[in-house]
Amino acid sequence: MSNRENQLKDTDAVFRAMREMLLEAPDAEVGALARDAGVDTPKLSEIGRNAVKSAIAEHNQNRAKEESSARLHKGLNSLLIMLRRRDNLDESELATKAKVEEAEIRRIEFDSGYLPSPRTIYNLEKAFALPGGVLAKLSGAIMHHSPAMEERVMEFAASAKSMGKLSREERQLLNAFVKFLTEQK
Amino acid sequence: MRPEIETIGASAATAETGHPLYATREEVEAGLNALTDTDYAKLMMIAASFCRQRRLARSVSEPSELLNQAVLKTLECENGKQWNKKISMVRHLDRAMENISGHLVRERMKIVAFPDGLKPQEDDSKSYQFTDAGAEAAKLSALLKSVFGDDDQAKEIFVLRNEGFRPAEVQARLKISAQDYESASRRILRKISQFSLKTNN
Repeated sequence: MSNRENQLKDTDAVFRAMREMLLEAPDAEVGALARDAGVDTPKLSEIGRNAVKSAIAEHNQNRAKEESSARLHKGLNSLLIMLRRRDNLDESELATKAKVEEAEIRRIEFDSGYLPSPRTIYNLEKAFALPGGVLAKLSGAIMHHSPAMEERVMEFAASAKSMGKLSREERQLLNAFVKFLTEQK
Repeated sequence: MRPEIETIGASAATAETGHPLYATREEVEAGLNALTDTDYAKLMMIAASFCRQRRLARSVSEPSELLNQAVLKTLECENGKQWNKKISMVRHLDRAMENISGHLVRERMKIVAFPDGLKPQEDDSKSYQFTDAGAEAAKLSALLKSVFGDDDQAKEIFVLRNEGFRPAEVQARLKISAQDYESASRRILRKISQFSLKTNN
């Protein structure tokens, strides 16, 4: 072992130095380098391109899911507020009735990224005497839903107000929305 | 060691020109779409090199998986590995793959060292590192031997270049012509790419 080799310090440094040379390799030589290594260059490029493409597709799919989930969550926020108003309950009273933390009620109503636990959803459905699964469909626990459902949820969220006693129209809107959710598979 | 995840906010970090230093998701996607066939081949060679170094892979599919992960992390922008637009996308992905493969190795070491799931009191990843200088030197020598074989001239030039000597200085030290230097440089690149792309590590 010469002193010079020691200057590269360790095997990691050698690998890093080799990669640096590959990064700096003239483009015109890259094809020949792969060929000399017994690798089909177009195939190598294609594998790389597919890896990049599939990452972009996966990322876009994840983003679409997140956006969709956020839209449904907005419906959950609005529905919870409307149900509280219907039953004339404040957050504290609802928390007691549903046996959940008041802070969690606030998070569901105001934090669109918050995913309530199945227990919380179950208890809230019971507290509001809702058919099973109505809130779960908006909570992110059930991932499959149609674009039509998303549209309906957004319409409901846009019409829902957060203050005062429910008007007759609001009560009709709420009942229709709960019925719609109940019918969703 | 570079940070595992670069978390500086895109809006906060700006280049001297006043333009944001880190790319937006759209800019990342445009940068990825602008990669050429040569870039892809280079990236695959680099991914294969990481897999070989970290002993992550024994088939060609794993390097592409590492590249895939690096791209995914880059697309996550401020929640992942942010692309500093001052460096090329290829170089950025090289760094991202370095982070990810290093992280995978550390995770693997924890599983081996703590199979019962108990974690050490503090991050003592340094204790995993090889500390026997003699054995490390032997590993280094063996690595250079497996890359360069009996081509001592190529090995010597590689070592000198990494010590910071310029081409003309290397030629003077080794008493070789510019032509011989160029020829050896091509051999070095060939040997490195052959070594990186070998799958039976």
